[in-house]
Amino acid sequence: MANKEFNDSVEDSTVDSTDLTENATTDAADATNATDAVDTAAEHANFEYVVDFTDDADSDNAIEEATVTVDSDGEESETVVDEASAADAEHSTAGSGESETADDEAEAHSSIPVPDVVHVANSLDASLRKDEHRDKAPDVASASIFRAYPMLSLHDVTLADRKTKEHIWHDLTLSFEAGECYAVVLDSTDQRRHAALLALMGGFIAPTSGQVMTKTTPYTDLDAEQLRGHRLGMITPQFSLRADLNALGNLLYVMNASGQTFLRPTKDIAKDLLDAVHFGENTEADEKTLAGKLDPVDEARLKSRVRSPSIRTT
Amino acid sequence: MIVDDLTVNLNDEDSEQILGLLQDQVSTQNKQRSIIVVTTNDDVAAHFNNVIDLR
Repeated sequence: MANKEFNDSVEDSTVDSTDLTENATTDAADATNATDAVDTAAEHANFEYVVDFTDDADSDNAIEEATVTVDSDGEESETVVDEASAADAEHSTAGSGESETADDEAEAHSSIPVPDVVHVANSLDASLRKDEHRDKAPDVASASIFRAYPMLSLHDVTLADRKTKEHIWHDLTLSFEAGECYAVVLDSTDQRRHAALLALMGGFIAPTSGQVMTKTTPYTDLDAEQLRGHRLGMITPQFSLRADLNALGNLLYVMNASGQTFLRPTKDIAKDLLDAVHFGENTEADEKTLAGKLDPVDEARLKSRVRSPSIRTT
Repeated sequence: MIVDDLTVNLNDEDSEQILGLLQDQVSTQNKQRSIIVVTTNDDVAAHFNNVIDLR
């Protein structure tokens, strides 16, 4: 059942990949794209938001004020930028020098039609609220610029069923740090969510909205070989091994498929890898036993090696 | 490394052994990794410091 869904998901991935490219834009870019006609106004407003966000000490206050401002004064661009700048000048050291320029340029654009400005204001508002919300989410603390980027992260990931449009996952935000072990516990009765989460994390399907990243790179910027060949190892209960090959053969198969060059003969490396996981230590199996005939423990040992990106560097 | 219910066919003792092996992979000489075990089993989850419950 899970397999079937998984395969379906894989087939879907080509169709979905275009969607993801669209979704891969940052919030800032979204704000700028809101309306071409008022591009400049949007840029100014966007600038305010960037400064607010990086101003650590007062970021909460600044973002709150900016949100209120955009809410109440959305009718006129001059007021929007003016007051946002004022809020910025109060709370940000970097913003004070720039606020005058923003004022001047906003005056030049005071003839912008009201509905457009309201549109920009609303989209900014939404964007600010989103970031305000993120500020409070505990996950964001770990994604702070002062720390290393998480090894794997999901940002507001939503996955909708293609036919029913029902959200299988909704606004899921997770981050996984390097050097840490995690257990992600799922409901055993919901195979669909299980398969969907694995497919999302493994890059087999693209989310309907949101982004999956490895360190600073969105999955959409990587092809399958880069992602699953170099960055990500995936161990699934099925399809991890070729039953017609022995343990050594399985490892060599994966090593060859990786397209990497190795400093030592691949066979020597493969033997070391099996020794490292005590393969066959307390069973009859040796490295020549076909994977289809392996004891479950040795099978699991071998899987952990075959699917580990560490093969490439050992 | 993303692991999907690897221990589903194993008994408790073997599961423990395999989970131990996985955890050993987190920090090796030249690399730091993240190990993510997706599971429906609370006993498996109990082996980990970081548990994300999405039920």
